[in-house]
Amino acid sequence: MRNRTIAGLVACAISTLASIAHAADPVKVCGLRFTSSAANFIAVEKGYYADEGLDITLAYFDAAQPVAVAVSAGACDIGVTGFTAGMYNLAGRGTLRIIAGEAWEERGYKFIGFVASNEAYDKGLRSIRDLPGKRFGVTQLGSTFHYNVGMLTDKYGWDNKAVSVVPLQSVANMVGAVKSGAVDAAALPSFVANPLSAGGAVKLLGWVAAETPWQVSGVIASKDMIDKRRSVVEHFIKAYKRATAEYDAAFNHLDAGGKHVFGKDAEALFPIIEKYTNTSRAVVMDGLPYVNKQASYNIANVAAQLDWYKARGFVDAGVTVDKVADASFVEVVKENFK
Amino acid sequence: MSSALKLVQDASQRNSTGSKDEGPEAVVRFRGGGFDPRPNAWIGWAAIIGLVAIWQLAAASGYLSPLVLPSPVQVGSALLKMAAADDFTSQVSASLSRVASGWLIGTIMGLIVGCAMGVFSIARAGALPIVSGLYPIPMIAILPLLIVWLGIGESSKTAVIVLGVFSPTVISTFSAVDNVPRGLIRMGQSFGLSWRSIVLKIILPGSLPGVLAGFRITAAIALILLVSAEMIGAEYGIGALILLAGNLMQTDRLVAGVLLLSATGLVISWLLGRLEKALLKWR
Amino acid sequence: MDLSVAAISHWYGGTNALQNVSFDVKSGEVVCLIGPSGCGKSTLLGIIGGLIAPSSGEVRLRGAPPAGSLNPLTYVFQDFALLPWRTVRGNVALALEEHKLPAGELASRVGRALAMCGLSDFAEALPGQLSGGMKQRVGIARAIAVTPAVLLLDEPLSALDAQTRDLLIEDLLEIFRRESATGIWVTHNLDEALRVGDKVVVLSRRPGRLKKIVPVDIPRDQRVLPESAAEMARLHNELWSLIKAEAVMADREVADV
Repeated sequence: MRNRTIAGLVACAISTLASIAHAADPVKVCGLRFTSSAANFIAVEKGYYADEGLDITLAYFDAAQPVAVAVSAGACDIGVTGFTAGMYNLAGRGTLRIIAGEAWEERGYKFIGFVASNEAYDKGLRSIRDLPGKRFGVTQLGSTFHYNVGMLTDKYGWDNKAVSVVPLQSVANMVGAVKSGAVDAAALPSFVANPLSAGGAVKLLGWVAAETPWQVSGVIASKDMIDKRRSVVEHFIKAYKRATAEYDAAFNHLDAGGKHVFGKDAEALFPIIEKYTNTSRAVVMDGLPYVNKQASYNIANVAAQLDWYKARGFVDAGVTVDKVADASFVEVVKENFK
Repeated sequence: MSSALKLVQDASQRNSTGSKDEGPEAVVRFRGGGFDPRPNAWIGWAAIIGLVAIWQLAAASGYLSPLVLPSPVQVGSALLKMAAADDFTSQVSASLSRVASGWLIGTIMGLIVGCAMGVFSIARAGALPIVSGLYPIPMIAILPLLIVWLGIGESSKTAVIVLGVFSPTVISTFSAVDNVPRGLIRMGQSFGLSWRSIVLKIILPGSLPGVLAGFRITAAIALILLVSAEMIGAEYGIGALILLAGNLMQTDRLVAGVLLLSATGLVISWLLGRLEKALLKWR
Repeated sequence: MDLSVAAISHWYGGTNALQNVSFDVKSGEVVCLIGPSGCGKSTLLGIIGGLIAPSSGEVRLRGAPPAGSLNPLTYVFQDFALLPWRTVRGNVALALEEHKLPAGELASRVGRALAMCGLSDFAEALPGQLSGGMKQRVGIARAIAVTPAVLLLDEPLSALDAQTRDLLIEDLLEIFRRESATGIWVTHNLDEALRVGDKVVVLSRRPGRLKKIVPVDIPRDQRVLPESAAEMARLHNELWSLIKAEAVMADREVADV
């Protein structure tokens, strides 16, 4: 009786192993429900990953930082996320690397916006140049929001402490703070900034893309994944690039006046992005950043980010661009796109 | 023959048969003892040292990657660096003043409401559902509201701790008042004590043990909520330090900050122990 | 001060605890209240002292309380009801603090009460450090300190062991003699009732009705003498016969309270 049970279990295990060998490679992809990850969603929905023999499971996070932690810890194989100081520190420990690009803040596109509280606006905060001396809300120190205001400081040559940066830990707290005037200004994603300013709760000051183009986000993979399952990563990138090419054709267009316009293929892609971001057409249309056709990323810009963070002690001194960026999967560029 | 007499006879018979027939002899085996845990400070320290040693060994041998848990040496050096930094005193004093003021305000409000609920039926019936409703509110979830109401200054940070401390204080206070033996209150009435005297001389001292036990819980809550409070735009503070280390994935600083927080907790708990000893000598 | 219990009835919700109980207590007299458990003895004592409002009937007082009486109706409790955070002295002083006494009177009242109860050496002790017998002495000292007109003793010895009880009863009788105090003493112990009572009020099982008032005519100091033994035994038998059947019935009733 017992022998038969064991035999049955062994047979069952063998058949399971066999079926795994023949089945698609399982890959767990982690990211945010952001419009900037549209290419990833398109590749999933249209079966580009499946075409490459990948069995994709998506997992969603509510901030960029945990995605990097999950990839480092091996809970996720691949991450699609924003570049933060925390991520660079993890990359410096050799647990993950950037393998492809995603959103690039490009003039004419609206991804992250600067908003002022009504109170501060009434007191004279009318443009980005008025920010020195004001309280500026960010999620966390070392986040993309923090870097946005850091780039402004460098660009306009303000004193390092001219804008007082207030970490509020979450977008919800930032919204509460800027609506009530607890902070004078904040950087908010377009899908938050647009409805707020349309409703009169805040005043829109401008867009990051118009001020300081930069590499906001990309695709990261765990070091184990790159070392041990390199071909899976390559297949992933191949499928991902099919989607970025399609994204490029549909969305990466500016008209003669520099206004963001969409191609004829856009209509077919909107429902996919709406579905994966849980938002409406209007929100999607308002928040699509530039994403490079070849899934390239600007490695020089990554190096610049590292320098900025290291100079402020947010990234450990030993973290170099070689440790952070893997240039072997996509073509990387050293100058701004376009 | 009376039954008593018969019993005596039976006993004498049993005695005589016992001496005739010499059965096996045995010594009664001790079977009590145990189930009596006693404090032993030495073993407590040894356990901590042993744990740290195992931790260091695991880290040094590579079983424990720094991402999972930085080694005690790394944490120690992060802690030293933290303590040597110029802003260390402002970090600690900012947190301590938030904890102290939040805990004090929440405790005073809680004691007033809790005592009122213990003494007056109307206060109890009116406040109990409100307090019970306030108890499980997750502070992190209402941070955006607190920011809208109170801004991002000290008041909203203090409010997080006040709100967290208030409800448990109310509940421990009014159950402490409830636990004052009714017999003592009846005694006070029977000796013609005024209402005021009964409250001041019987109910308040009688509820002190329960109130002080509540302090231990609320002091811990205040420390736990410190990190939530310092989520609101804190420039300095142990909680802000932990949050920043977490955001930057500087795990050595993260663990060092957590150790700092738990050391603060130990000091507070020791102080409360002294307070209990001083105030509850009669127990 | 004389006291009369006039037609007291009491209900707890739908339960009739006491039914039309009346008796008188004359100044200087010690009246024992006995009855089977659950007969409402303690409720009756609560009503007499004004701690429980009776459903009907009233308790009347006649005459002036003794000079300097701060609390005419004063209890001694079965569980002592001492404040554990106050010293012996503090417990005895508790009720006195309510009154604006002339300088020194508080201390002298406390000192006298402590001395009378043999507590002078324990004035600074906390109740937690004392034996049961000593605790009840504190309870008695606290009662004496306010110079009561009528002492209401609610099973004062029931929480004590037999030896302590015998020791304390002698001291209590001495105090009653010296203070010529009036007392209502609730007990379930017949020997105790016969030892201290001038008369014994016997209550029936619930609802407590007055069953009989048995006078004890032997002077207190002669009750332990051999020549009183026969009369004491007779009284004991009389009380026991009054109570036995009631007690058996009450015992079976307790379950459905």
